[in-house]
Amino acid sequence: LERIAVSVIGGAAAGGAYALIGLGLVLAFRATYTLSFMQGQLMLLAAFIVAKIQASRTVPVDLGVVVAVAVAAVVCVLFYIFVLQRIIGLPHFVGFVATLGLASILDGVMTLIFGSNEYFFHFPGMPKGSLDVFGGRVPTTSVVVAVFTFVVAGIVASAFRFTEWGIRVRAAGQDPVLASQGGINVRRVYTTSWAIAGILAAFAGIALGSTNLIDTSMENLAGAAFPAILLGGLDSIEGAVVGGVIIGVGQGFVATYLGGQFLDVTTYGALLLILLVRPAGLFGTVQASRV
Amino acid sequence: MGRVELPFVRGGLPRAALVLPSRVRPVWWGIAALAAAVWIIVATQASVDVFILNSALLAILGAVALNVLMGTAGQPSIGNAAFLAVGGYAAVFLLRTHYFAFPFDVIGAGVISAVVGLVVGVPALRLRGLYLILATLAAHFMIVFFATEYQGHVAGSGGIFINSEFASKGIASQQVYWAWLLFGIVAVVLLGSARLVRGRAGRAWRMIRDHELAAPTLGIQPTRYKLIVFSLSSGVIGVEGALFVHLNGSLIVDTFTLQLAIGYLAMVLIGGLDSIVGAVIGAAIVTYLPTKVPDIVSLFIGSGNAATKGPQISVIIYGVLIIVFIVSSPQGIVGWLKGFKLRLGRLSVRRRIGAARPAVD
Repeated sequence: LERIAVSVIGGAAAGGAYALIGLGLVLAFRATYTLSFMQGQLMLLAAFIVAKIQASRTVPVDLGVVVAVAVAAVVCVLFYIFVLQRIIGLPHFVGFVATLGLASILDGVMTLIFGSNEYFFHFPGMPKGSLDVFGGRVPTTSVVVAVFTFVVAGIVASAFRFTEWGIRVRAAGQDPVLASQGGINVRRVYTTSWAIAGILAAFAGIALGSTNLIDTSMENLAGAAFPAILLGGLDSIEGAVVGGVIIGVGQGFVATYLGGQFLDVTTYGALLLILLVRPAGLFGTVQASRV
Repeated sequence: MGRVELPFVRGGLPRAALVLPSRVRPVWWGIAALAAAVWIIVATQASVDVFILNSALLAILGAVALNVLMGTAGQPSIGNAAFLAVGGYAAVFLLRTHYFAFPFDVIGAGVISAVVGLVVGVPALRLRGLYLILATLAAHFMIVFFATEYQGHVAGSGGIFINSEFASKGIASQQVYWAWLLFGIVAVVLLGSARLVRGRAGRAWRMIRDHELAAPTLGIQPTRYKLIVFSLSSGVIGVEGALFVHLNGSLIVDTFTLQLAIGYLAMVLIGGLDSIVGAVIGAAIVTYLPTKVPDIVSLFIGSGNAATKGPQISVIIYGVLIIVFIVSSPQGIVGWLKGFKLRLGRLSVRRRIGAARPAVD
């Protein structure tokens, strides 16, 4: 039972981060049908910025968080304006490849600025030590991170479902022409969608950065968001959260029972399986096409 | 993109007379140019530069294969680093059985990679576009996992070492032997792929790329042609992986990263989708960039700095190149050249026949 508790809580902290990244991915996908491959780099960038600012000790760490989030959002918005708006009409995978390009730019820039060192930071007021859950000892920070990420994910998902802004985003995603005739500024909606995608990735990066060491291996964590959103359905907001939790907890079990080296192969095996069995995922729209 | 055909050229030469030789000509010209480049570099440069040339020739194999898969048949993939690994590890595996010696293990590795490509191609039958990219991403991580396990089983995390080929000829001429061997293989692959892409298979692949659902109505079986292109391209990439092992004499799983796969995507996109010449140009640019960037950068910052920061800066540069080409010219450098040629052609045709018939792409 202890091992189960450890698996679930350790996995939930990661799953919360996947849910955040996944939410961003789904938002961006619904806007421009671009699957973003640079969320991992954005995560790392945000975590690096916070760590660097805390290390410099001149400005409070809260400000660092604001800066990090803003930078991630700006990168996404610029990418949307200068790249995605110009490739409208090309196949969707072209946008994906463009995100690969930006990912390697970000990789190069980050290695130049931050080097290959490991960074870490901690928030003042973050509880230390560990908790006893059903006899298993789990670090308190994991619990805090899990709760934080789920709260943020919950807020975004419900805003998407219940607010007028959510309706606008959904309308613009479904039918840009009709939506713009209905008085929705489609471009602005898409821009905000991309900005939020960046902000969520930054939150995920900061959440993971407060529990883990920050180095380039963090980028690979974002890869697990792909099986997560596919499991939930590529265009489903709720699906991203549910899928993130399932994949995260699943990884938690794999890590405790099989060992860490099996994480990648099982995660991406799950991705392949989902693609083969049910590409639309749990809550996604089944694609129909006609000639 | 079809060949630019001018309706009236050189005083009404019969059309058939123009079409037949031009079916063969471009690729032979390309190979001749490549041979000249190889000859010049081999004759004048140090063995380090010949080694870089060899890496570029190897990259051409993968870039051409990926270009046929992605550009002609429209099946995007980021699994090419993994297929390099399949080729490399298959070659090592065959060598270790002691039944295969140098050229045959490369052939065997090509066959094994083609079979693995077929296996990965089966899911691709149901998937398109983004979903297919995700499937190849999954394949990448799974193949790398198995390669890691195999390497750990055989040798350990330091990698596997074998005797590199032609080592008995001395360091300098070893690279020269390699250059001509690789040139021969590249020439065969270029000729073969040019022939395929221009012929029946190429037309079928383009139809599948543009209208997969409509292809069967023209008597094209998407299943068959997709499996063919998957196994062919992964076979060629596998051969490249096997040759890579023999050239370097070592094999380590850390080589086969997603970054490497993105590098191959960059080659295809910079050169131009659905263009074999483009793949060659792209492979040359992406291979030479990391080696030339430090020299250029050292003009601005100190040379010590440049040597350490060179690789990162070239990563940034080809990221920028990917984006610039996607935004400004989706057909890459070849697209630029074609546009230029088209404008020239229009000018000369207009002059000749008074703009009565504009040149049609």
